[in-house]
Amino acid sequence: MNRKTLLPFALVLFLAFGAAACGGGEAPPADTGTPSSDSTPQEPSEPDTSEPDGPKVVTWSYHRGARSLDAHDQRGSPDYQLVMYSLFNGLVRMPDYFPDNGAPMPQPDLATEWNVSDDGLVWTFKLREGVQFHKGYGTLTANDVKYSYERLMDPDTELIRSGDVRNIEKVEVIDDLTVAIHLKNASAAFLMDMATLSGYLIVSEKAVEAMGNETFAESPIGTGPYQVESYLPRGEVIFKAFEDYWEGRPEVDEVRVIVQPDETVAALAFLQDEVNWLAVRSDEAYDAVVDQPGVTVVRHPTASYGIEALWLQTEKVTDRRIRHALAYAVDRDTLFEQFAAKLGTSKADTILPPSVFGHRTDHLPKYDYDADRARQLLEDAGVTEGSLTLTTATIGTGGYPDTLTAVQNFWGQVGVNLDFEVVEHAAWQAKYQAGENEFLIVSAGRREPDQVLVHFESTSRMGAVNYMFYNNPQVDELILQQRTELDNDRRLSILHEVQALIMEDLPAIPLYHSAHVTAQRDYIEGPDNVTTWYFKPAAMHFK
Amino acid sequence: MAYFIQRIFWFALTALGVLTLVFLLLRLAPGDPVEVMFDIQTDNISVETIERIRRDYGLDLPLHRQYLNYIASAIRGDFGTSFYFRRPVAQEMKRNFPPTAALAVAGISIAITLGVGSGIISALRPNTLIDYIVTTVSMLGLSAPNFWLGILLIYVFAFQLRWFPIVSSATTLTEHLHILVLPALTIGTSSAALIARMTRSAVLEVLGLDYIRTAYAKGLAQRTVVYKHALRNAAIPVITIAGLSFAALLGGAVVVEFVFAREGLGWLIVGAVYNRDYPVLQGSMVLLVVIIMSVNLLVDLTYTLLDPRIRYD
Repeated sequence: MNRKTLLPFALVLFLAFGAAACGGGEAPPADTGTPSSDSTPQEPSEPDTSEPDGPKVVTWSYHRGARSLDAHDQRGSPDYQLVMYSLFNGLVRMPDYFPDNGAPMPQPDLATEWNVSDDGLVWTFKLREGVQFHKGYGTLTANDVKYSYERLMDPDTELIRSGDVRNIEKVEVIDDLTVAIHLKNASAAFLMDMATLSGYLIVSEKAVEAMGNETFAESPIGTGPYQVESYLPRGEVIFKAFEDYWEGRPEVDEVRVIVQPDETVAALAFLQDEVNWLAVRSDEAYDAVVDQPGVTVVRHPTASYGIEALWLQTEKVTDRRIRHALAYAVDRDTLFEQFAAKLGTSKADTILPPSVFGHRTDHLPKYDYDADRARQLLEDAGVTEGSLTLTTATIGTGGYPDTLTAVQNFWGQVGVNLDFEVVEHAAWQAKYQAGENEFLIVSAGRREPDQVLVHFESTSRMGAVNYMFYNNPQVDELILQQRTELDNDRRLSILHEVQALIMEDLPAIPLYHSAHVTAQRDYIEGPDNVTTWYFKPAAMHFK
Repeated sequence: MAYFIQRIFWFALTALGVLTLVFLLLRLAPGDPVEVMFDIQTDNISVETIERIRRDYGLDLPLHRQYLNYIASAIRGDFGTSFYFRRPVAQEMKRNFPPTAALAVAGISIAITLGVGSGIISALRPNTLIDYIVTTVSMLGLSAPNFWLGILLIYVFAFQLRWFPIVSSATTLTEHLHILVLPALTIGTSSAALIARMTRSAVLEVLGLDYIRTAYAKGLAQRTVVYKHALRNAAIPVITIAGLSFAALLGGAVVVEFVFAREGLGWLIVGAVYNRDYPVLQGSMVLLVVIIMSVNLLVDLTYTLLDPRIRYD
């Protein structure tokens, strides 16, 4: 969409809003016709797409502000992305780019090497020498590592990431640059957890003790490529390049994160080059920025480790044939094309996304669209036309209402009714935890397969984590086995087996995998094909 | 004196009513603040920790105990600590009040200037083209929702004409004033429209009275008649509407701050609702009630200045 066609886009928006407000009822279908020429405002001049002079500044607009910049007390973006890749380091980290073969594996970060005891319970890390904390808070030692983890292991802590380190028994300082981590249970996921969970990031003991948690959340001290210049809770955040960063000063001098909750306004700011980096979160925002002059839209399909699925909760679908019928009834190819093609990678055939270790589909049962088979299965299960109604609630974002409307149509064709309501997030969260929804549509998943499989484990918190109240002892057993299996080949085999079991049982119907899509002004290069989260200013270059 | 005591009594009673209503509505709404605070979907927090934090925040107490604690704290002016931000509520309000106050004052100034000005012009030339234009624009202004008008103004003045930045960021006073223009226009427009309509009808009514004819008969200039004699008597309903508009304008700040990504009480309140951040919401509501009731009191006192016949004793 170019500037000329942005006008109809804006006008359609205005007309729809105006009609909704003035009419007092539902908005009429949007008029997509071309507006008359006399209503066309002046065409703006083309933005300057040449490399800006002066400091290299990346400005990211996000729909909400950072709640906290403390690595150990945050949830969700933008906080997560800022602490993971700009402010702090862990002992290991994910590579910036996806490898050609296989799933990405953790690589050295603050630790240069490590080894694990034969029983998998003791991990010993050798730390990098001479790593500096921001703002003169000194050199990293093993004591900072011990302090960081124990800060979360403290039973009285109120820090949000305390659950990340719950498998740690104790942390032992061997010498200034060597630390041993004793686990309660052997864990194949331990390194991946360390690389992807912010509870494993290392904070400066000296800084936390001097500032206290409250101040540290606003002015944190880590070892990352950027240090905090200013921070307004829920507002603008400014980072400056850390001159003494152990990997060398990053090329981008300054990072600004501004808050613009309205996506239309954020897209306008991006097209105007007031913002030069954008996370594209909706089809409307995608349409507004794609094919614009001076703009590069980057898809990061390999960072997609989430899966959009229908998680079945109700006892009404206890009969496996009904669950299979519900899957056969949904044309996921069409669903993907209509609702997920712009921000997605593919329809989903299993619960582990393609870029996650252990993903495999060739041995799994297929649920390609087959309405006749769905009807037959329902009939076999004694479900007559219109006798089964499933209800749910969803939030208004993420395209879920649209997807549910399509599913409603597909299920309706085989005689199953779907009723849903749109509620705000906290109400939705309360409903699904109480098991009030009969099924749930939500995105789940992480980089580490174990972090996905917890959703299917009967020992996970029912409702909150195990959305489906699913209980299959055989699946539980396999999940436990893969969790403690340190040999990758053997673990891979268990992961394949557990996927087959789950996909046969089908407590959740996978719909599609989403991709991260970002837009940046074309004088900014990289990163593309990232392995995890996408906002990595230290990996960006100015052309 | 008795009047002031009476006003203060009603003031306190209204504040208590609002506090109670906010308290009950929040508790009736589904959603747990502690679970909203944590990313419970990823199993990174134990049930024990959630229960402990709930105890720490007093959320495990019976409802009436929570209510009594809350009222007692509110009377002491202590609104506690934000569940979500873990910072004192007073600190959050202190930071968010000035931007909203600036927006509200700028908005009401625009509303009064535009509204009274165009209302007078319209009343002086009834049933002429200019009167029709003012009336039509007023109707449009009243009908346009803030979020729509805000995006429209951004599109035209910031995106197309580039007179303003789309991203609001300011350090100097001039920059602050510059980025205040569009939000203030957005928020002030509907009030301006209302004031214009009220001014028009009030001035028209007064202009038809005998003492105005007498003033003209004495040979006074139109300017003197309108500004010295007519407007003063037409001002009471206009000021009443302006006072009421101020409350509406503070409500509109919620939307305008969202569209323009401005810090402020409105945005703070919306976030607090989503996050079930009871202390922030309760504190902010009390602040808004105090502001709105103070403005109402000010309006009532202004009546006595405009019309000495009005006495409250």
